[in-house]
Amino acid sequence: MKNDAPDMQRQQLDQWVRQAREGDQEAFRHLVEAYEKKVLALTLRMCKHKEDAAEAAQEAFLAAWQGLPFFRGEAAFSTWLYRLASNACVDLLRKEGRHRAHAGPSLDDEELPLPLPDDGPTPQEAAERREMREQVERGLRQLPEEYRQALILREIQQLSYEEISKVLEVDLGTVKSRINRGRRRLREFLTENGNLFSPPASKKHGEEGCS
Amino acid sequence: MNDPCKKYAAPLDAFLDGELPLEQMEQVRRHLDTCPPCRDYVDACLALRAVMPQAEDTPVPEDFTQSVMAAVAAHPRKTRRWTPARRRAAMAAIAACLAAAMFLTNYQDWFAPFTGGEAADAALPREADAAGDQAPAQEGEQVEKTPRQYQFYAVTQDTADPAEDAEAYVEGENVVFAFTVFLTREEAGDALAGYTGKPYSTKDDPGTVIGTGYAMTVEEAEHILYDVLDYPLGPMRNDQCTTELGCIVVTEEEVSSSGN
Ligand SMILES: [Zn+2]
Repeated sequence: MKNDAPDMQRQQLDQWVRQAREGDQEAFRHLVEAYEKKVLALTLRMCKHKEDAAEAAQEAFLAAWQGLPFFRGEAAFSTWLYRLASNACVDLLRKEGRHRAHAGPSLDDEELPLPLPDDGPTPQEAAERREMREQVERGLRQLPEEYRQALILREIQQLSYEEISKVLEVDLGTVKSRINRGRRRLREFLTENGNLFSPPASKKHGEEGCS
Repeated sequence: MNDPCKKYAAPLDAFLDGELPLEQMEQVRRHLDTCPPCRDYVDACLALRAVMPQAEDTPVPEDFTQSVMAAVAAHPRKTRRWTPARRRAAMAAIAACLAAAMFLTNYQDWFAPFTGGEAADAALPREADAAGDQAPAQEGEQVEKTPRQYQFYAVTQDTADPAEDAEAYVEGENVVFAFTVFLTREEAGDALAGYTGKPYSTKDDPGTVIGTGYAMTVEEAEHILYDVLDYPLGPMRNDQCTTELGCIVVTEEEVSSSGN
């Protein structure tokens, strides 16, 4: 589950990393293309504004480019990249926090920065799915920063606990507890909003636990 | 909504994430057959996962790759691969410089009221609680400094402690650093030995000390970060900074900075 890239692809990625380290911009472009969705998936959920998310992602890639000669490959390139991205977001949030001090109202309730895909076999199912996703995104956004980060890395980036601990630079126990608390809160949020337990009929378990 | 039972609350997440040894996976699975609250939790989490957004669905701004590559082209990398030996030499030079400067500062500080700056050889540097410990690198005998620059920052010679009179750094209140980098104590190792830090917190929560902050120039920070980490400073310059110095914040317990 952790290394979703097949071997071929992995070798190709490794090669681009080596070439980019030597200064090959074309190879780096391939890396950007290979990772931009994943990096944006992270920054879009950590930053409050779409523009910030793109900026943070760009900063992360730029920092990666600058830092590659010193990247010793102890951590996976992706892990390192996510760390740079998460640092860039924190930095932007910090700046924004300062602005917000005199800017007035909180931005929390702002529109979701992510346009959600309409997928699903029928228009109705697509709509339901979309509604659920919106709720999940909302739920994620109301989580404390630390829980959100851990959950995103786990559920969206599909990192292992070990990898998450490297990205966030916290110990394994902390990773576990953040994921656990994040999930619980998210579950509470979705239950209160009546969404999690009325999924499309395609869900496998018949028994209803909570309501 | 019931919480999972106490005994299994912890392994449930590891179970969901495939982080348990096989044997325990089996054990949890058996437990789920007999315990509705735990099963509810697992079901809820699985339902959640089913509707979790996927990285693949993430929209990428149309010109994103282009603009990253433009930024890359605009920031050509300095070719400066440092061999460990060269890096060590640079560290040693800086350390010597810092030691000399620190000695001078403390020493003059200590004796200034009596001698107007002239002091006897017997004088010992004062314990490292003085403001101004932060290594004014330009005074004293010039130890050779390696000329290097980091693209994102101008190299500065101004090394005065930006919050000289304060006992602590409160980011956003008595100082806004040009950049701030957080290291755990473990990561920092002894890289900051010889530096004196101050409790570091932020304006948002001045009561909570996040760690120990060490103010320093970009150059110094670069050396330290290169020496202890596998990435350089990110492009994280804070435009609202009140000092050209940055800060390395060492979290958790204080780094033994008694130095010398
Ligand atoms: Zn149970």
